[in-house]
Amino acid sequence: MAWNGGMANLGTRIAVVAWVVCALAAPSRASETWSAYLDYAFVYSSAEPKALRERLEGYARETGMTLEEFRSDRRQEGADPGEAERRRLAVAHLLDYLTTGSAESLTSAVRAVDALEDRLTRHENRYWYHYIRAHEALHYGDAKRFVNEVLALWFGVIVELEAPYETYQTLSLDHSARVGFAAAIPYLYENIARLVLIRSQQMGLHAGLDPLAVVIRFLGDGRLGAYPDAIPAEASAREYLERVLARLEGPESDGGSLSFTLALFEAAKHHDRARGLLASEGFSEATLDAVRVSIGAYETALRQARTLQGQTAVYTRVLRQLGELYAARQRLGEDPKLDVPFRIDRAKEIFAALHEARDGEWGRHGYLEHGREAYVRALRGLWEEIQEATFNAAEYYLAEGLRDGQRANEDLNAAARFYAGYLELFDTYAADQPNELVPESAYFAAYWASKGVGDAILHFAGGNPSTRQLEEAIAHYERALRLFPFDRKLWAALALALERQGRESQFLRVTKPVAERVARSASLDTWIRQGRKDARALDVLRRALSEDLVILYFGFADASRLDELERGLEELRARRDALTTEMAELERRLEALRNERAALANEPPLPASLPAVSSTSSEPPRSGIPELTRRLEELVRAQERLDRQIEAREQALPLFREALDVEGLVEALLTQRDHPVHGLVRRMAFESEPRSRR
Amino acid sequence: MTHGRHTPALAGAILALACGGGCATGEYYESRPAVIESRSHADGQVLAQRKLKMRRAQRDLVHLRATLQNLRRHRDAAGLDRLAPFVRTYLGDYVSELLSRESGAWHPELVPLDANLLFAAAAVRMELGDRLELERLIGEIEQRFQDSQSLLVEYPIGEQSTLGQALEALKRERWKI
Repeated sequence: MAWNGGMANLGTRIAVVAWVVCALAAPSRASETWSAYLDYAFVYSSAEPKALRERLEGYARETGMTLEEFRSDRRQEGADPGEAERRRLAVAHLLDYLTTGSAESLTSAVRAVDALEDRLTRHENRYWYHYIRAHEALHYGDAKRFVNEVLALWFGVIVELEAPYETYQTLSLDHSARVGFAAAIPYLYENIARLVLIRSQQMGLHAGLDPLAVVIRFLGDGRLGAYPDAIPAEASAREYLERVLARLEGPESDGGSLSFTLALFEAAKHHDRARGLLASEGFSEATLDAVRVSIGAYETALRQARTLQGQTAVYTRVLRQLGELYAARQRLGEDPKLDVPFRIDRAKEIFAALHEARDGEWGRHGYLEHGREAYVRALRGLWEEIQEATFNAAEYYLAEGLRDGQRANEDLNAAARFYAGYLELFDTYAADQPNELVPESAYFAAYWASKGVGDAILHFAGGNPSTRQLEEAIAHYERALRLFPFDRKLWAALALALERQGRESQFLRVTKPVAERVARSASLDTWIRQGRKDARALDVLRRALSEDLVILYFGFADASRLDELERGLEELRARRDALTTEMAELERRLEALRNERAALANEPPLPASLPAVSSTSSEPPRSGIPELTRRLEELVRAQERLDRQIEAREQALPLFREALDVEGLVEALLTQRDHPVHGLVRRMAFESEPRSRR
Repeated sequence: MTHGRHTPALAGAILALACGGGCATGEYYESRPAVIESRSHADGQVLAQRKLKMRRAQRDLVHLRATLQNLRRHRDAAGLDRLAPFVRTYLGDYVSELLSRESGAWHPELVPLDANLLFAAAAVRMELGDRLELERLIGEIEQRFQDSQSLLVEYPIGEQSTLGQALEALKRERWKI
């Protein structure tokens, strides 16, 4: 929010006034020109220090006198300078303080403005009196005094000037230089807004500001930014004020605490900066500093939070940052030292406490004004962040564990612990019955966590886990399949775990109930019939799981083996063709034998001595009819088997191929918390047999 | 540049009109019969200004009440101690002036605003725990609006009800102090 631009009307007016004074006065009257500028200091005094310094330097060039020279000049004047001069000197000291941060200038400003105590009937004097003292209170971190000065400023100056200003405005006199200090109202609004919203935070005043929430509410009610003729929208703090107000009154408030709201805003600003640096520079020193500042700001906000509502708002954000850091560690392969004093377990405790209040006490924790809907939304939001931070942490450790380093087992253990931690939360609040306080994505997340535990265990001890560990992995894979049966790779993972235990033959027996549940699912059927999101993919997977052979393919084959499987089918067909040929030949020979036998039966009886048989005959020895018949029967059975195999494969392979083409569903659900299929997964979870807790 | 040193005559005249000649602090709520006066000089601009001020004051009282409520719920005694004196002065000086029928800017069109402002002031007094002032406001409402029970007012804060219902609600709630 640049304060330096805009304000065309008053800016022009100042320039005109200054020019007139300059033109009329000799160069030696430079201090009088400064006086003109200082009388309008309420227009520019809230500028950022750099912009303010540039403005003052510009005035110095115009007048040929620096602000310091003006202050020195006025200090040397012996006689009582009078009310206006005292005020101008006080303002000059304040401006110096605001550009240099000099405590000495601030003290001088306070001393000068204190001299106006007997002249506070004039609003202009009163404004600067409280405004300067408010800055002094900020400088020394005195929240009590700061609040008093700002309230005095509002009730003692603003309230009294508003009505005359409205009148002048109605009569189009508000731009007249002769209407007095009331014309300054739009600028005074801006100055007060900036003092409370921005300056207080820059000066590190994070506590004790709550009574000033009323001033923020006043400013937001048709005051700040309501005079674009005086202050253009882009130069006004209106937008920021609206955001603060929305947070102050919204469900992420801490019972309407301004201190908390501002602290959380500050933390979010630092968080945004840290996130930007992380994306552009990785774990550079600047990034690490920004992360530390951000974490510190979140700590400050948490200290201000007096309600679980406020703590939830902080943890919801800080967990996001934790998750981002773990994701960056995994992505960048770096593990910088960062002390983060926030624990996922504490977020779970907050969730537990708020969940405990579900039957009516929730209002007591800060949600009274926002209603149950806000309470439910906040709890779901917190859960989702717990989920995400947990998984980011777990996946970082899993990736580290898979690197096969010295700490592999330790990392795999850590990954499994994170996943199991989520499952514990899930089992406590979501597994047994639908819970409106838990997001729909929790069920897919439970599948992901179960699979994660299985994966971590399977890779334990260099991929040679103990039998007991394998059993645990298998149990987790089975659970994951029950929760989300549409991840093809999970079936293969289960098959591998069974294979490691020498139980691969049990794969179909273990997985068949899951496949049957998919086939029976009324929710899934309705979903597909209604053509809802990803219905086609789900239909393909459902049809695939209705075929045992496809289930076996899921377990023991993958896309790379599809060609091989198709070649296998061709081979079967070739074998069947060969069999058919062989069978035809056998039948032909049988027929010939039978004919031969029939012919023999019709011939005269054989002579007493048989003719000699040539030992050199090239005719192979002919089987008899029984042998040929037996052989033919064997071939018929073989052909029947082949036909069954071919028929099954002809049916299964296209389904498997189709299922292989279903990609991206897992990724979509992982990345989109509001993906509609989460709702289906949740409904399907309660169509299954009831599960035991933990 | 000497702005503010000499208030122009015109501005002075406007100010005098805006204040209706009654800017001096008077009795908070004068006991006046609920007769609506219409004065010729209260028409036009001054009336418009008065309406604007009354509406704004009513909204500001709602903001004050919300902030006081937040502080109370936070058990922020220090915050309450800091804000309360300013609120009492605001009610005692500024709001009482707006509610005064002595101010010379009275008009029938101000009746609903008057009622709403009284209820908003009462709500703030309740939040402050100012039992006596609350009783005075209730008495004032009864006296001013004994024949206007069906007038719609914004009380409880954030809701609308007839003045009769609102007054009953206010009387019930006063015992919470």
